[in-house]
Parts: sequence; structure tokens; C-alpha cells
Amino acid sequence: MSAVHAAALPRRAVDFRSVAFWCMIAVSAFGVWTLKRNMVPAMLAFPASAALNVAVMLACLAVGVWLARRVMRPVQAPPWSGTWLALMWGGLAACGLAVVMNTRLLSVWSQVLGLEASASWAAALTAPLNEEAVKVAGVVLLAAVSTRLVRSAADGLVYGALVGFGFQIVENFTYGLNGIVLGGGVEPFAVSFQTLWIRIVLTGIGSHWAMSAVAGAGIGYLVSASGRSAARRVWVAVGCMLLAMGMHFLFDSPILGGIAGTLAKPLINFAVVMAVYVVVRRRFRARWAEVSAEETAVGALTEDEARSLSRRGSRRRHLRAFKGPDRTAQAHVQALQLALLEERIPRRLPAGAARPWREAVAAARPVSGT
Amino acid sequence: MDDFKRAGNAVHGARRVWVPLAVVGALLALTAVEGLLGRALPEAEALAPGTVVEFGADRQVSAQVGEGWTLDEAASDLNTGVTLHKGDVTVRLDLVSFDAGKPDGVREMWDGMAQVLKIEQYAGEDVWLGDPIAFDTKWISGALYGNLQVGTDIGTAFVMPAEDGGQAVEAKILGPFDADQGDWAEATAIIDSVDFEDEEADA
Repeated sequence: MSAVHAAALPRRAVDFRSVAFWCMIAVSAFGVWTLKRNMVPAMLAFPASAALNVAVMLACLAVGVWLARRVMRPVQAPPWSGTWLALMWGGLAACGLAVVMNTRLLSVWSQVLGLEASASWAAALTAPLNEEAVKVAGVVLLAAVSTRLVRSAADGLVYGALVGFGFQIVENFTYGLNGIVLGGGVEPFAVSFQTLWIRIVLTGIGSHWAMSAVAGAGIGYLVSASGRSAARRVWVAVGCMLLAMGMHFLFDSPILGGIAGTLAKPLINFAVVMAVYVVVRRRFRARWAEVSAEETAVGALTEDEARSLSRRGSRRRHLRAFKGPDRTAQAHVQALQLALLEERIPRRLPAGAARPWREAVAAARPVSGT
Repeated sequence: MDDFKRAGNAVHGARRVWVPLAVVGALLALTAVEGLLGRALPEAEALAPGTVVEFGADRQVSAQVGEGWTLDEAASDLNTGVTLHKGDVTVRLDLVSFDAGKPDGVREMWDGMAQVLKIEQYAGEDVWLGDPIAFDTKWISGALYGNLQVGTDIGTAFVMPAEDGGQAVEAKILGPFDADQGDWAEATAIIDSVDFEDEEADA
């Protein structure tokens, strides 16, 4: 019986037959081609620096993905399939497209503004437009890859952060190599190290991941069934996008120059993304508490289970009360209960939509006395 | 209007087909528009004879051009370097800063430039750099130059260190074999005019 119910539930977070999935693959392939053309010759000319860049990139990937999945989404991490798709889009598709687009637009600003003004302002007028557009496109595509990936502002925020993070580590990689050229090829290892140090330790806290998280939260709000009007959702999404572009403009502009400004700007961006995170998290948890109470009332959760379900630590503590096969069975029940409540986060779903999940939870419960 | 149905996500049904296509289409359109804008605008600005071009983060390097030179705005960034054209001859001037560690003399700067040129070689370009020869200009002493070939273009590469050794101008003159001799001479005159701002004099 349990197996029948489990088979009826949608299990894949990513629909590999969707148009959006193949769009993401195609644009990422184009990004790989662009990045390869730009980076491989420099990697071959400076192999030691390239090795340092690769090592730092992998270390950042491990730490950043762990942090984003552990902290950025309330209750539980996004599925791994969505995580890798977001990173792929940010690191390959968005970064590769941005290389092409930025080269074109920077040259336009040089011609329109003149060299003196463009030396100060071209980056601030280029990156917020091109880079925020290509990054946020990834969150929209993720929402179209499957109806299950992006269903709340919290989903949009975490996927935006992951897309931005993928972009950030690949961009750091390219800057680590470009710095060698700007340094005349002298002391290439030290130049790469210095560049990475500045971009990761000093400014990394308020860079691409923060900007994209804000824009992504807006897309999450736009596509989610939050019970709000379409007009309100559109305005919130546009507002978040403009805020992300503003953060990027501040980051790249000569406003707040000098060392103090270089340190202050990432901190300002970090404060903005944390403010958005607090609002998104509070709304998500409020909705979670609401559906949790409703499911407790209909018997899908006990009060004890409802209390333990919303936090990673309390879920682990709850399971520790069981031993051996009982713990395995309880973990299965817990996973289904989590899926049931996640399913109910969007509002306006028909009353019967969650029924298969409730039935799966009921079927998975160990029968008393056996 | 219930635009969510059973999905809980507004991108469902037919939208899952046209939304991704529209997103990718919009990105391609933005890329194309930016490319077309660049092509529609004039790439080079004509410079009056005697114009002094200043570049570097603090505009600390200057070079003077003769008659008929143009500044390639699309290929120039005053923070790092400029590209100048006359006829078939191109002069590229780059300021390099040795922030991560001062090189041990101008020869190390030359070797660094040679290694950077290998990037073009690995990208499939035919690049050849000759042995360096010492030279001085009116403003800079202890510089090096050597023959350079990039693809079908020939010319000369230069490394001109600042007095404190913390930065240098790396220059390249390139053009086809049959470029006008007068243009070559004027390009060399630009190299001779390169100067670092004298901080002591300013103070």
C-alpha cells in the first residue's frame, strides 16, 4: 500500500523533458565555449596560477554551496538537482553570456561617454544591466524547469543566491587570470593570490550572490501562489530587480571610493540581502506554521511531530528518540511530512491537491503493536 | 483569476514552453542590440597634432601624438591603456603595476611580457618575440625593446620601467610589412614621448 502511494507522488524536482531545462543546457554550452576561449590560453600560459585558481574555486564552491543550502532556505535545503542547475546557469551560462555582452556594452560607453567618463562609470553602467539580467533569467528558467522548484520567495532567494554564487566563483577565476595580464606577467602566482584574496575575503560577502538573492526573491514572489494579486507580484519582482541592480551599481561605481568604500560597499549589500532574507524567512515560517496547524488538525502530523518538523536540529533530535528500524521508518514518515507541508506552502491549491501526500504519510506510519 | 491551478507556480501549462523561449530570446536580443549599438557609433576619435594622451589609474602616464593619429575608444580604457592608429600602424600602450611584488629588474618585466604574449600563442595566434635590446628615451632610462610578430603583422615591443620599478609601460607597435615608413617613424616618436608623472615635481 505504501509503495502504491509513494509511486503516485511526483518525485523529481526537475523535469528533464522541459523546454526550460534544454534552454539552460544550450546556453550553458555556449557559455562553456565562450569561457574556454577566454580562459584556457591564459591557463596554459600560467599553469601554476591556474592551479591556484582551480583549487580556490573548488574550495569556495564547497563552502558556498554548503552555506547556501544550510542557511539560505528555511526548514530544508533545495533539492540537489535544482542546486546544480542554478550553479551551472550562474557559472557557465550567465558568466559566459556576460563576457560577450559586457565587452560590447563597455565599448558602447567608451564611445558615448568618452574615455574619461567611461573609465569611472562604464563598469557601473554595464554590469548591473547585463549581469543582473542574465543571472535573474536563471531563476525564471528554474521556475519553468518544473513547477516544483520555485514556489515561494524563499525558493527564489536561495536559487538566486546559488546562481549568483556560481557566477561569482567563475568570475573570480577569470579575474585571477586577468590580474596576471594587468600585472605584466610578473609574479603571476602572487598576483592571482592577491586578486582572489580581495575578491573573496574583502568583497565576497556582498557580491553577486547577494544581488542575485534579492532579485531571485522577487522572481520567487512573482511566480508563487502567495494569494496576492498579479499586479502586486509584478511590482514586488520589479522592485527586487531594481534593488539588485542598485546594489550592483553601488558595488561597481566610484561612489564611496578608497579602501574604506571598498570595504563598506559589500557590507551595505550584505545588510540589504539580510533584510530581504529576514522578511522572506518570516513569511515562509508563518505560512509553514499555518499549514502545519491545519495538517495537525486533520491528523497528518501529531503535535510533537509538528513542533519538531520545522527545524533541522529538532528533526534530528526527534529521530534520536527512536532506535533501529523504528528510526528508519520514522525518518521516512518525517520526509513525507516535510514533502506534504512543502506541497501546501503555495496558497490557492485545490483542497484535494495534498490528499496523495496525506495518504502517503498515513500509509508510511508504522502500525502500532507490530 | 486563478493562474496557478494545481501547480502552485505561475509558470505552468503552455507557459512552460513560451516563458523559457521568451527569456532566452530576450537575452539574445539584448546581446544583439548592444553589438549593433557599438557598430553604429564611431570607433575612433581623431586627435589634434601635439595632443597629450594621459592614462593610468591616476593618469600618471602621458604620451604625445603627431598628425593624423586616432584614438580607438572601443579598445581603450584610460585606467589601463590606450590604442592609437594611423594608417595601417597601431600603437598599443599599457600601464602595468607590480602591486603583488616588484620585479627584479627590467629583464623580469620583459620575461613577464613574453609570457603574457604566450596567451595569444595558445589562442592560436602566430607570435614571435625577439631578444631584448637596451635603450633610453629623453624621459625614461633602462628600457628594453625587441622585434615582435603577431600573425601577419610585424613591429616592435617595448618595456619602459618607471623610476621606482613599481610600474612600467609596455608598448607594441604593429602593422603590415608594407605599412608607410612615415607612420612607423611617428609611432616610434610616440614611444619616445612616453613619460611618467614626476611626483616630486608636482609636490
